[in-house]
Amino acid sequence: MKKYKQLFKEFRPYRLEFIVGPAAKLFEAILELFLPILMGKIVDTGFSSDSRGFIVRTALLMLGMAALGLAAAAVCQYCAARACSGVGARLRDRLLTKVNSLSVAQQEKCGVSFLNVAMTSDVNQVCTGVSMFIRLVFRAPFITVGGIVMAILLDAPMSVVIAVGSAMFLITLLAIIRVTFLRFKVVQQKLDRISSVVNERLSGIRVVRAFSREKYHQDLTDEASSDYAQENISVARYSALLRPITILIMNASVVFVLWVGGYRIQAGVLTTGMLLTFTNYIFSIFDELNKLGNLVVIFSRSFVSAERIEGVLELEPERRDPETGDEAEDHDDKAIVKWKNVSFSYLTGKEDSEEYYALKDVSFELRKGEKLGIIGTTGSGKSTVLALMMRLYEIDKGHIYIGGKSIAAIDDQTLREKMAPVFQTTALFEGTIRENLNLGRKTPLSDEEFKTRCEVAQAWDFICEKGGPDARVEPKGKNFSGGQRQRLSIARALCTDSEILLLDDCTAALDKDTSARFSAALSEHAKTHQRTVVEISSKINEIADSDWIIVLDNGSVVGQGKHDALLKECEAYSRIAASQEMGGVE
Amino acid sequence: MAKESMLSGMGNLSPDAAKMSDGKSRISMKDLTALLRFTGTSKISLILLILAAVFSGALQVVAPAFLGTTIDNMGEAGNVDLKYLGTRASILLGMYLLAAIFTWVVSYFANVVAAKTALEVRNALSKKLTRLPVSFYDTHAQGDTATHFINDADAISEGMLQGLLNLFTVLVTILGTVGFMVFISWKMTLIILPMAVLMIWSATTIAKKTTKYFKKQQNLVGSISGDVEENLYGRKEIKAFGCEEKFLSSFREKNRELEASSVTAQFASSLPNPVTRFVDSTTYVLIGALGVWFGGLTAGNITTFILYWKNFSKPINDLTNITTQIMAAFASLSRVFKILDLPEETPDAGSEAETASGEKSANEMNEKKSSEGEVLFEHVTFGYTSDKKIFDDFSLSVEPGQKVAIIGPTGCGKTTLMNLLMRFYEPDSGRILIDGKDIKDMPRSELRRRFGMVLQETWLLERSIRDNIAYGRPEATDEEVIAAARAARAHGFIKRLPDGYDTIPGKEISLSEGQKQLLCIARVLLMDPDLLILDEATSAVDTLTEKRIVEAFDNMTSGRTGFIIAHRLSTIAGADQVISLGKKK
Repeated sequence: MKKYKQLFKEFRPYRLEFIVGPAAKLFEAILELFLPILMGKIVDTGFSSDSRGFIVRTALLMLGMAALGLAAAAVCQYCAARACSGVGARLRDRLLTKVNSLSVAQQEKCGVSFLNVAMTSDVNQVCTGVSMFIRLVFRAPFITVGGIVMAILLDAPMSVVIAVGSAMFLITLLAIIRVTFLRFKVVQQKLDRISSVVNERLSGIRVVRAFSREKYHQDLTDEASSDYAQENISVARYSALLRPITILIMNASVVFVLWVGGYRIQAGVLTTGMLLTFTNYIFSIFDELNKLGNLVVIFSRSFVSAERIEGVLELEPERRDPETGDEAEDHDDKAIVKWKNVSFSYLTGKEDSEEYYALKDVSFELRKGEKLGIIGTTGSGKSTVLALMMRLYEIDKGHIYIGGKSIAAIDDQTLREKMAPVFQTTALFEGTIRENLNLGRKTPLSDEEFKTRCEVAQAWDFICEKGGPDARVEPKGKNFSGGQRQRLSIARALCTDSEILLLDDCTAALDKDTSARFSAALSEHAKTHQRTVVEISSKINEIADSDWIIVLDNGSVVGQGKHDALLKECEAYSRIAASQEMGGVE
Repeated sequence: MAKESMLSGMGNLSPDAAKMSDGKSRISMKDLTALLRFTGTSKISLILLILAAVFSGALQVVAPAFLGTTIDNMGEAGNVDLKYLGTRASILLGMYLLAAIFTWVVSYFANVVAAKTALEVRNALSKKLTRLPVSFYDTHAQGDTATHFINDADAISEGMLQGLLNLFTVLVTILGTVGFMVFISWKMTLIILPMAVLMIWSATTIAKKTTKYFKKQQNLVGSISGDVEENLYGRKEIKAFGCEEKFLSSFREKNRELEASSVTAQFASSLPNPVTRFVDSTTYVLIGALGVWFGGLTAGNITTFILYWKNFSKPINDLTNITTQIMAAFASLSRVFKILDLPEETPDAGSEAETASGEKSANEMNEKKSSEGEVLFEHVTFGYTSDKKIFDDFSLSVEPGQKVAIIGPTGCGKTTLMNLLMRFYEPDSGRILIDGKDIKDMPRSELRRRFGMVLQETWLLERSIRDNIAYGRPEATDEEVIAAARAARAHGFIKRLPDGYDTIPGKEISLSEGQKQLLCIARVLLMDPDLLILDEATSAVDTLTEKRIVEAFDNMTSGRTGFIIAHRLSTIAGADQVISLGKKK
């Protein structure tokens, strides 16, 4: 259980529920065990004028016990509900806090969909496990053992029948469940296959039709469906055994109680009423064992989920010790941004082989208020520059200085306050436009300033159309077009007080006129606010006015300088320029 | 009487269960006949199943009575008839063994029929997908259609399984049980039946009450999942703008709310079990006490009644679960039929099975056709909906070997031209002629073979690059595949991949958008088409890659009629005709 150390920490506040719940359930079980004995007594007494009072008293006692049992069960269910809801809430909280503290690299390594599953369905699975644990785990063994013990007290030889029957029942149950549970993994794989074949077929419908390959895909689908059906039928060979065999064992046990009971009655040890008591024990015990079987399945799922949650909770936020020493500071204090021989690879463990580098030996520097342009083809490493500057990933070699200090020596918050990014794929959040744009601010901007900055981003017009700054933004900004989302995220960066603006291909979805107006407004804004701009683009005209341009190809700097010089000297740059001579129209 | 009370019990439950599934509240004859369409292949299994169910149900009724009489007749202490007891016990064991075998037959064949039903549903859907027009795919979300394949087919199968497992056995058992009970003691029957009703009533009332809490909990779970998803989706922004706390605090508030609502929902939903157990215990007491008091029942009779009570209480306990699943199955069935009942593509003129002729013409493709590639649009009118015309009396004449560029803003109908040419959609009026022949009169596959089409979204199979290039002509030789790749300027990068032509894109290695597009061009080149359509094929790639693609495309268009749909002017340089489409509102 040490395996789930982090997870169990969240169980601790519910210690009381974990004790009271099962205890209440045990109490109910004890009451339940007495019912068959009293029942046997009533039957044995039989009806006569003398026994009338006894029967009434016993029956009332039994009803009272049943009612008390119901109350105890309710207490237990309440404890289970509290513990399972509480553990769930605590786990979700800890998981999200943990996930937010991880670096982007770590988040990506885990996989975003994995983290999503861990925080939602895995937590639910563990909750179900907790609830079932409190409600059933003690009851089932207790009723079984208790039933057998009671039987021993009544008549030892008869208890052997019950014990043997229970053991056989349990073994068969677990064996069949085990086999089918394993087979169900294969079934699931076959179902996933259907899903992937169908989705492939649906997503490529035009190509499928254009090449007249409908039949091929239909055959693939039918094959996958038929495989799945076959697998289900072959699993049924085992799972169909469960019901008949367990019921047979139960019924056979009842018959043996009768048979052996006959000899015991002959010997004068037992009465016919006690036969009924034994029969009832068999029913209660087998009922509980059946539930135990279901529990095994639920628990094995919970443990898989628990393992994944534990895996996330055990992750340590990646943090290098703050850099100290000579390299921590750069004494050239004129440069606000300075890169010195920076290399980086997304693949951990392959930092030493150059071919995996996303960026190789990149150096440049930038002064306050200047604009840097970065250009290159897709996959040349442009966006990586931005990610490294924000320290979303740790560089493998070299140094990045901001304001004369290595970014490894600046704490994350201070570093990120200095920079405002516009990512290539923009994320907007559910809320109002104002909330979205003030995301990086502690105090909101004045209305006037807010408007000015939205105007720079060419966003004010459509913000007004949507109903002003307090208009709703739907999840993921669904109610805005791609170009509008892009302009909102530009406005969001402009609304911060950060000295450095990082723009990653942020005009890709804008038409030519709008992006030209934005370029002009931005350089004006940068000048008045003394903001340094790093702009990544695939369009030459966007960055032609930069103070410095870096041309990237396959992670390496193949040219840097000013526009005119690059046109003459850098082949890659002039090739890109030539390919864009026609300009673009939307 | 018992039957009546059972049904009224179900009547109470069904609206509730239906709400949970899909607003379907009643199972009609039509639904049942629809279901039979899919079970046709398993007639023998079904007959075996029903017979076995009847026998196993009957044994469940007879055995307890037999057991009861045995207890009463074996005698008192000291003079127990052990020989009689032995025979009776052996007969009982035999009965139970037989019942087990019958139950196995029911379980196994229920699984078989359920699995085969799902298979039939999937096959019918799969066949339908081949025959549905492209407009279906354009108007139905891919996820929804996939759901019919995966979830609905399984739900139908699961409902079928539950129905088959329980329906016949329970029916026989309950009818038989009531009959035997009345025969043994009508007074006790009068006590047991109301208890059965009480049990159903308490289980369903609690279930109904808890639905409310569950809905609230479900909403909160949905809202929290949304938060989690948003947090992950905007994780870069959240870090960059340092607003982790902002997000956490709103999440925490909802999380606390969920915890509170979850306690109520979980507690309420866990009550039916102990409550039914209480009713169960009460019934035991009543059978015992009242049986002795009024009925003068023997120990054997009481044992019989307790076993009969079990015949009742087990199906009642499962009732909620089973009806929910059966209702969900019928809801799924109606969703599936909504698809199956959709109109299909009009059959090809003069050809039987389109797919069959498709395979044939694949082979014919090797022989170079002497066609020329003249395209004529004559007074074509078309709109996706009747109130919005994309083309109104549109005419166009393209000479063989000409290159036509189609430009215009988003939504002006550029892609519609391709949809009409490929007969993905049919014009409302007017006709389109290729080499003087109305395309309506050509089998679709033949028409489409003549076109090579490259789209904006690159669609590749999760198969080797070789298989992807040979998609349209699986019988192509390796040399032909390589030649096509060379012509598409793709051979160079394919060679450098770890497994060359055997590399599986997407799985082992992710290709860039541009590389994928070159593979799509190679795929078309291998078909050696007479006419080409390039639909926004370069809008997702950077300008340098675009240049390579255009080069490859130019290589391919020489001598062929080509249509280029684009929004970038650079792509359409060198066109013989430029058609500019305006935005129509």
